[in-house]
Amino acid sequence: MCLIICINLAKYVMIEVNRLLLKSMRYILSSTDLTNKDIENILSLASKFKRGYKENLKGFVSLLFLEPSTRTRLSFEMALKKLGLNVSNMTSKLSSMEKGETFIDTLITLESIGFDLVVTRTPFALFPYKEIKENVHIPIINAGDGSNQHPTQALIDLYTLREALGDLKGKKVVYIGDISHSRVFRSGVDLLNRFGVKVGVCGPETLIPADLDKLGVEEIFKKVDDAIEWADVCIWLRLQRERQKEQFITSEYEYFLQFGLTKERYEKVKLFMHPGPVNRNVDIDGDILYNEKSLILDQVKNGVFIRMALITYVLQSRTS
Amino acid sequence: MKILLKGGRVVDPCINIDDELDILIEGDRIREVGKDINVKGIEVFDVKGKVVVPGFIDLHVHLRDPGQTYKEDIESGLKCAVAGGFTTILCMPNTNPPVDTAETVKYIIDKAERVGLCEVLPCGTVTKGRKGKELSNMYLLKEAGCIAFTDDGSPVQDALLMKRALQIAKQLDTFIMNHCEDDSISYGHINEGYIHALTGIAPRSPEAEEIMIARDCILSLKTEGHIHIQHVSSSLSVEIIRHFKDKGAPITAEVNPMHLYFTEEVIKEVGSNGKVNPPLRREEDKIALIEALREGIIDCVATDHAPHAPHEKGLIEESMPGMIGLQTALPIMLELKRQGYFTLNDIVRFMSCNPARIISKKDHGIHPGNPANLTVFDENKEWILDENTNYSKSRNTPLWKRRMKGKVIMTIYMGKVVFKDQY
Repeated sequence: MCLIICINLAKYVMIEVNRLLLKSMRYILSSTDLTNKDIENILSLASKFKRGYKENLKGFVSLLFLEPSTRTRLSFEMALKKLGLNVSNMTSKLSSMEKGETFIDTLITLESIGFDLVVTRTPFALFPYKEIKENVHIPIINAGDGSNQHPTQALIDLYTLREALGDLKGKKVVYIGDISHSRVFRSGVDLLNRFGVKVGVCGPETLIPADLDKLGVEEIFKKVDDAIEWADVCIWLRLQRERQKEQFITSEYEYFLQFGLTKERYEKVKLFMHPGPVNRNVDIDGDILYNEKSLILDQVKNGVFIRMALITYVLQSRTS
Repeated sequence: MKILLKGGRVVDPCINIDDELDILIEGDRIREVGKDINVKGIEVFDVKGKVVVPGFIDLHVHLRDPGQTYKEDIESGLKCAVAGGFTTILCMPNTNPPVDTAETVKYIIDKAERVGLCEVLPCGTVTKGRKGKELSNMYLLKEAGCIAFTDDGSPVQDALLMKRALQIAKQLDTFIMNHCEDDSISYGHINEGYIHALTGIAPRSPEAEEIMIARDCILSLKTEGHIHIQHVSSSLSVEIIRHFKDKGAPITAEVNPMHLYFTEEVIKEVGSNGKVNPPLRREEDKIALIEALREGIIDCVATDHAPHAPHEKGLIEESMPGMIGLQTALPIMLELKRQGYFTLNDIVRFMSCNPARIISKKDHGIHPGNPANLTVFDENKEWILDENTNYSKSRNTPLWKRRMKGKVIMTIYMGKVVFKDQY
């Protein structure tokens, strides 16, 4: 009799533990899924990795990339392999979504196969995330969804800015270019605001959405030269031709002259970044891409450490 | 067969009644309206404390039948209608096949009569196959039973075609309804506002609607053909309609209760269940629409009941636009009444008297001799739209599982009780 009670009690405890584990499941779908404390923890862990700290994790991770990507996919792959994790790559052409399976069903399937984490890149927005969180019970990291969010890039930019400027309180950062289609901007503006950065934007009027004040944008610059003068760091964004279903600009040549980082503007710019991939001589003059004021390669290098830190954080909060 | 409704608050602004009265129904007609009617040996419903109004009329319903009956069919759609207090509905022609032949009109009318829950008035397409290229056989469709014409969901883009349609409709004593959105300027999913800024999801700008409303109002003024503007959603649209109504153009307009109650912000909570064309917009648009109804710039509310299956309502960019709305129209209007925007009289005008006027339905209203089409509702009854209360085959609405106040408790169509609240 006592034994039966004990067994039932043990069962109950197991169920409760599972429930709690499920609750602590981390979905990093949007910058808002990270608290300031999370971010501090992730950034300091990234610094440890950068200084040579090693972590050996166990598990299986699927990279579900439904959109072309070089740096983000390989950066994730490098981070995962350095952590000792098993990586499976999946692209849209090879996936069952080609056969009509929904994205949520694909995620549920990956969970059932036994993956411990899925990193996703999608041409569509996952907003408002509820359906995914309710139906999928393994951690998911969003590596870019449509024009919506790209939280790891925001962490990278925050980290790189801190390396360059120290304390960010009161510092000024301007995003330049295709604001409308930029998930880098959307996840970045939230994180930068939270760490005291004043954020401005500049770009063609046709590529600047209304209501940016509600996102925490402080200044909208008509002229890129004014933006450069204002900002401690300028983040040039790529003109996202693949997402533009209408004519937003007159020509790339004019766009470069009006908004691009030319050699003349390079003289006045303090520091600059670009999340990549760069359209040379559209976003930035190719000759100055990696010059001394450029933080572009720092962003790329930091990307691996940030992703190692985030993956460790996500997987450990699940098992701890 | 006689029925007596006793002691309800009878509200019918069409004939200026607002009083506690009894209503005697004999056969399919209202026989008598007055104080203390007593007839022995007939069915009596005590509706004291409840409101009795002329049956609601919805000018904008998608029954999805024929062809898309996994979303809704004529039977389930009519059950929704009477549960929402509607005794007459106009069904949209974007079915499969579309309502562009007399055969399809006959199919709908016959099936609706067999179901027999309420009156169904089919709308025909303006253009063949809703393709926007060539006008439908409007005379034949009218003869077959079409009450009006619309390419709802696929607005008539060609201005000359719209002009000709208005002229032909005028001669046939009917009218054109248009879902106004200029396709050349709108291809996205949500309003060009805060949620677009937040998520980058491609927008449908208000000017897409405003431009086409302006065009249709001009054509109505010039041709004197009656245009009915479907689901107005923006404040500038209201200004345009006001301008051309003032000039005497025969324009009428409807608004979806969802546009009176929600703004784009609800998409944050409900995702694709908040996706509809034209999209939910800003607070200032919502207020302008409410004001426009009160002033009579917008004539009536119409639900645009648009069922879609769950798999068609996934992620926002992949999902179909539209919401079900037959059962939630009255609760929304009552909520707006409690917020101080409308009176009970207003609600009956917007949901019953004014739509009756638009479709020239002359024998509508709580008057002896008229067809006994009545709705009885409880202003204070609280309920939740869920698997138990929903009559639709679909559940795509931002109000799914939300608590609401105000419920239809009985609907009478042609003297028969076609809906009685069970919960």
